[in-house]
Amino acid sequence: MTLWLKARRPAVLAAGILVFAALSTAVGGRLVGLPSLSGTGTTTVPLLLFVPLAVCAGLLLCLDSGAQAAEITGARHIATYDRCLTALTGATAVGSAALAAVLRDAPVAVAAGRNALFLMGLALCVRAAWGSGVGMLVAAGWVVMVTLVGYDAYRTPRVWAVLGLAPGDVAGIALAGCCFAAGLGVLGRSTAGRRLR
Amino acid sequence: MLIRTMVRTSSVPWAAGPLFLLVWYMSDDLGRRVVPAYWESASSIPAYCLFAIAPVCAACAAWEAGRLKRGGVAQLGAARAQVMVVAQALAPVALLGLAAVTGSFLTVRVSMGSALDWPSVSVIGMITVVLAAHMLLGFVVGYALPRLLAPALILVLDYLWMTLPPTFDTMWVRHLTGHLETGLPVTDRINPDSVIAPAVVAAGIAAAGLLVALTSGRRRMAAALAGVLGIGLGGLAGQHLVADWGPSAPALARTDQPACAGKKPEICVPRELASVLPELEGASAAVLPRLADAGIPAPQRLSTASTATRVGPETWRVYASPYLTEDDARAEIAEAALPDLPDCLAHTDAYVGDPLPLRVWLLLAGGVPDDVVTEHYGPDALPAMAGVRAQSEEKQLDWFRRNLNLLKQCEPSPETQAIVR
Repeated sequence: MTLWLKARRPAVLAAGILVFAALSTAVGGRLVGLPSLSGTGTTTVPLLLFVPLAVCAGLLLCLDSGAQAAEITGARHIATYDRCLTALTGATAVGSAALAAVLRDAPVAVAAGRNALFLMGLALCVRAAWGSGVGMLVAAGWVVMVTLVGYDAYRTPRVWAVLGLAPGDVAGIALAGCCFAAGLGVLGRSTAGRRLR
Repeated sequence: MLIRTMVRTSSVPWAAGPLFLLVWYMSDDLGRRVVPAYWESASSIPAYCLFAIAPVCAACAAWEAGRLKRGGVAQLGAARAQVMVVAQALAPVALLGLAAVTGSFLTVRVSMGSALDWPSVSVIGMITVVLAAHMLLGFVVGYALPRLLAPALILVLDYLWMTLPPTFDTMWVRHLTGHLETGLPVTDRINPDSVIAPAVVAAGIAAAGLLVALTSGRRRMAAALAGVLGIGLGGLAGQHLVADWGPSAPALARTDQPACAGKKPEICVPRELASVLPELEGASAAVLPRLADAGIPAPQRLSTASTATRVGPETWRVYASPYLTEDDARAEIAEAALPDLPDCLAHTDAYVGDPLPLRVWLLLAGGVPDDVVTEHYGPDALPAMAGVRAQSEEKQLDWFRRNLNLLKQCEPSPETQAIVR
């Protein structure tokens, strides 16, 4: 396990989580007007939507470190270790987002933790099929897409987009949880797309 | 290498579908809102779409750079020169940007329905330089950062650079991105500096990107330093051009000849609105004599002029749109009797008077039907003016002049507070 931990370069992951926590605290509940395709041409979205990408990038860089070929043929439970690491990362992201919400007195910042879970799950699912590069791009593309079509003309977030939903929205929490669980589930099967990395 | 092979081996086909769909939707939507046939205004739509096109091109270029880096092309004894390797990797990305911009122009042309002249060459030039800059920047970022990170990072950062500046309190930043505002009035032309400033900034970025992309080894560090200098110089030059601007570029009036009709008064509108001249002529014949009876003498000229030009007392500034009905034309002619008022709210948040009652009075004095007045100014407009209209013509004219003078001096005019649209 020590070798696995060294190979995963935990410092990269820690940097991703730190950037996420710092940006969540710095941005707080700040809203920005971005172009939208929903009626009015512009929609006001929380700048916080973009922040979970930091922890997502840290996790993917971390999971892609190490000797992949040796891990595939090895007898150690690498996939289980990776799942534990990912789950721990998710919990840390949720915790740091909650802390940021308290520090900035911006309840909306709690949603950054849920969004981090959703984006990590999405990136891991895509990674299993097409590799980490595409996984990260899809996560970034999803955030951009949410700013464009994730809200209706009355600025109500669409449920399927997840990221714009209120922190306590049950559907949002359920979707993010399912996506993260799916990401954890496919972690051991990420060999197919590795040639595309 | 065949262009087909270059496209097939690149990331461009993956990005093309969503990008084209997005650009088509935005161009069609915005194209329906511009004054038909006015290319100067319509040309800003493809530039507006740059907020989507530029980041996608930058991300594709970063992906291609990562592909070359992973293949170790720079370290191999390649038969082709470095510049050719880079050019062949970026050719499909450039094609993607070109196709998206061309598609945007074509969609706008179809949505407008008609067109005079051609799209603005200066805007096309600016779009080209901005796209090239973003592409080269993406390529450099792709070479410098891990392949996993670079395309996603440049996609998001580029998107934020194009879309966030309008939310900044520092106004000049938004004029450096090339993401032009749409909705240029038909009376105005594009301010050249709004095209030159982003082009200058982009040229600095492009030069920096080119320097870094075409060098390798130890020379790359020197190239990077020169690149930073280039970006700084471009940024300074661009900022100098737009430093004093507000949220929008200063308006510039068109210099081409308008379409005119009639003698007394002569009615002039931009060429694109020539089709509404008969409606305006008919409306002026009906409205102006009634206004003259009410004490407002007819002008020598009715002109759809830019707010950037001053008009004399003998010229009334009339608003015209391509969808003007006969009733609208009457209302516009009557409203045109209200002279230009100072921008009283420019320096204060205090109440500075409301010209709406004067407009309503002008419409009623000009014989505009009550239902049209209600349609333009709401159901409270007529009851609120009942007291004024019940007075003699002399007293009504006194009321109008007194309140007009107050409004010209940015003084609150209590008698005009009653109507809220």
